[in-house]
Amino acid sequence: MSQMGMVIDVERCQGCRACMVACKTENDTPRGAFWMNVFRYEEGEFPDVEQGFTPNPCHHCSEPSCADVCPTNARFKREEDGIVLTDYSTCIGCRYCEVGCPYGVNFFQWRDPEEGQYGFAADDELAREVRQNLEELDADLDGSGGAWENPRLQAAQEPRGTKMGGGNHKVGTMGKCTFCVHRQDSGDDELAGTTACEEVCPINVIHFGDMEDPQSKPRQYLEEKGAKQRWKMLENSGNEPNVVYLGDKPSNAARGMENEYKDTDEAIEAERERDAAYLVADGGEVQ
Amino acid sequence: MSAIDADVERLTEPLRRTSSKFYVALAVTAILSLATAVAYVSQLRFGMAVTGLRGWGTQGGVPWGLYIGTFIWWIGIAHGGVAISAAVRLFDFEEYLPIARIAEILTLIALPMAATNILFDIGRPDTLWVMITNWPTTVQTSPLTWDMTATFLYFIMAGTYLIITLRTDLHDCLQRGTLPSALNPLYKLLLIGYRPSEREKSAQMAWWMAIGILLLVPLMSGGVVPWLFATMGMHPGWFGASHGPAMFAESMTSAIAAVVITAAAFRWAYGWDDVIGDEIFRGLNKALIALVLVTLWFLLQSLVTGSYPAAPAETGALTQSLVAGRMAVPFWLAVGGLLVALAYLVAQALRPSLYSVAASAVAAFLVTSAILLKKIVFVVEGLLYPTRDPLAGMFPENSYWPTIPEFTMAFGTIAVAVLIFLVATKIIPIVELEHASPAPDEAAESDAEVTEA
Ligand code: SF4
Ligand code: SF4
Repeated sequence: MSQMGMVIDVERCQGCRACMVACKTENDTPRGAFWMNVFRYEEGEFPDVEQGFTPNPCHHCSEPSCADVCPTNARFKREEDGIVLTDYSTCIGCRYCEVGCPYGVNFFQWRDPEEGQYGFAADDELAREVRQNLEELDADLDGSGGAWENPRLQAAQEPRGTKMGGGNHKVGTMGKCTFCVHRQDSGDDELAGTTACEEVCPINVIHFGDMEDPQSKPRQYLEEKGAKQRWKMLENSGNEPNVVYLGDKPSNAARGMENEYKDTDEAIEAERERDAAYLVADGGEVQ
Repeated sequence: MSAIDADVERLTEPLRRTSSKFYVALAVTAILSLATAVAYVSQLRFGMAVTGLRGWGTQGGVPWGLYIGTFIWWIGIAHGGVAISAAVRLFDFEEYLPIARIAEILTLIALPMAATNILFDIGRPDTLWVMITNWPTTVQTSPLTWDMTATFLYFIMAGTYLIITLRTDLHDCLQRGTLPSALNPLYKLLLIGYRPSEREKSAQMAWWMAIGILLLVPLMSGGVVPWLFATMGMHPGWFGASHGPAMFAESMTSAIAAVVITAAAFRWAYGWDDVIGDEIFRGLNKALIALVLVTLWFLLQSLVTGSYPAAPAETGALTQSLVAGRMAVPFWLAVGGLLVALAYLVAQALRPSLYSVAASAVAAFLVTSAILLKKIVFVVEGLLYPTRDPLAGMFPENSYWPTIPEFTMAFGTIAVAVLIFLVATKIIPIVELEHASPAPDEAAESDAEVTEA
């Protein structure tokens, strides 16, 4: 039995959020959804203010309260590696898992994925133009269907043989960090055992691997950094999370530095205003 | 001796005569129901993005809102309705017999309306059947599964209960020819295997059913429904053991209020001043006084425990927001509604001259609307301050404001319910005939009593 998990060294983290971007690209998640999310927070009062950064992916709990409350077993914990997954084919979209998870890491698909990701499922002129451009682009590439579709994300996952990876899941179902399950199941040795966020981090903050195996990357890293402060998020929640942090723990007085994240609807609206070419090619003019 | 001072002819009047008031009500509710359907279709078409709901956490929203609040409210009403009728049967509260069936029908309509709100809330209604195939495992841990199971069980019991008590009436009416003949196939279906000798048996069965129903009510209204929330320890305002009894009290309160409103509507529509007599409303008003007090008392409990500095931080923040923060307006509106209604109810109890059916109906309306608001506030408040430190301070502040489609659908279920009720009055006798006086030509002496009011 193995249990995938992460060791995240927040002492090194600079809050650049490259992992958030990598996750979005890798998993094609809808706007406003951050399967990997880095808190930028501050503590204390002027002039003694300190800043800190804490990445907060799904903690792939050993006792996942999200799976307990799911009325369809769509949310479940995979025996073989302890990854907590959502079976998009059986999720009824009740959002109970989201309500039942203390970490705030679940993201519902509020719109059609195409609308959610690109804002062009609405059948207006701009949307049609964008779509046409994309289709042409796709034909230039390999014509595999949708330039925006990562074919790897369409794959089915064991043990159920249904799609459980990727953030382009059907409207009305729940998504969250999958520990890049499509990589773990890809059969590709370069990809298995890695996640996009881990790979992209310029200063090796994230260490992904089997927490049960003393030889794994995260366990080795823990051993190396034995003396650093070690903690888990909401350790008392009973969920037994599998993300271990090293370094300073945000105090209860930590305040997020963003008052709000960009509103999804506003982002979609803003993009509607843009030149269609901007959305597909290399920039274009922002109007 | 009969428990209802009216003859069968008058009580079956709704089945035979249709007034213009009825058509107006039918048209209005049909239009509103249509609007509900249209809004739902648009939600299916464009996704749940048409609601004001969003993820909690980085999206700064709440994932459950108006639909879930309205769902709990309907469940509460459902439990009160049939509970009244069961209590009437079990404890021989004969004077309440005229409203027993009204209350039962209210339950049978309220339960599907509750389920409809759940349907509105889920993202993929086309996948709903999975809940059935996975039932054996999910029932072990998922409160939502418990809830669906209990609701279904309850619907079956309440339905059976109504049919048992209805068969005798239908049989009698068919013999008298007081039923609309167009629906004869339906009546035949309901009367399959009917023998006049089943009267006694069915009375017994109904009695046992009543016991079952009364036992189930606290388990549901004060059990599985509050457990949907009370088991989620990360949401302040939801967690705790007292939500069971508190929610039970609220449910009973709004259910009795709903019965008052419905009974008053029938009395007004059919001039049944003598059938649904003043003593019934006075009695229900008394019950409401007690129940509103209990509801307020539970509220006070949570306010007091939440306002002390030693309260857990999130609970403190939440109480603060109810008392004087972002949730203060809906919260105090709900409390105010209850207080105003209570003031009237107490006044009319002390000074009988202040009593009137219309005023009682208005008070009941205030009570049940206040509880609907309270339920919505309850759902939202737990998600506005959703999590524990250190996460609590690091997420952006959550907010929620329902959209027009959401309002249309959630409150539209009220119009749908009224519509179904209106149709029901054209299909079955709405007052139990078994206990009514015989028709005037059969026993002329009962006339005196009828006309006196
Ligand atoms: S962090 Fe939340 S979503 Fe992830 S496994 Fe734990 S309870 Fe489930
Ligand atoms: S939203 Fe889907 S995965 Fe989450 S609890 Fe509901 S059915 Fe399960």
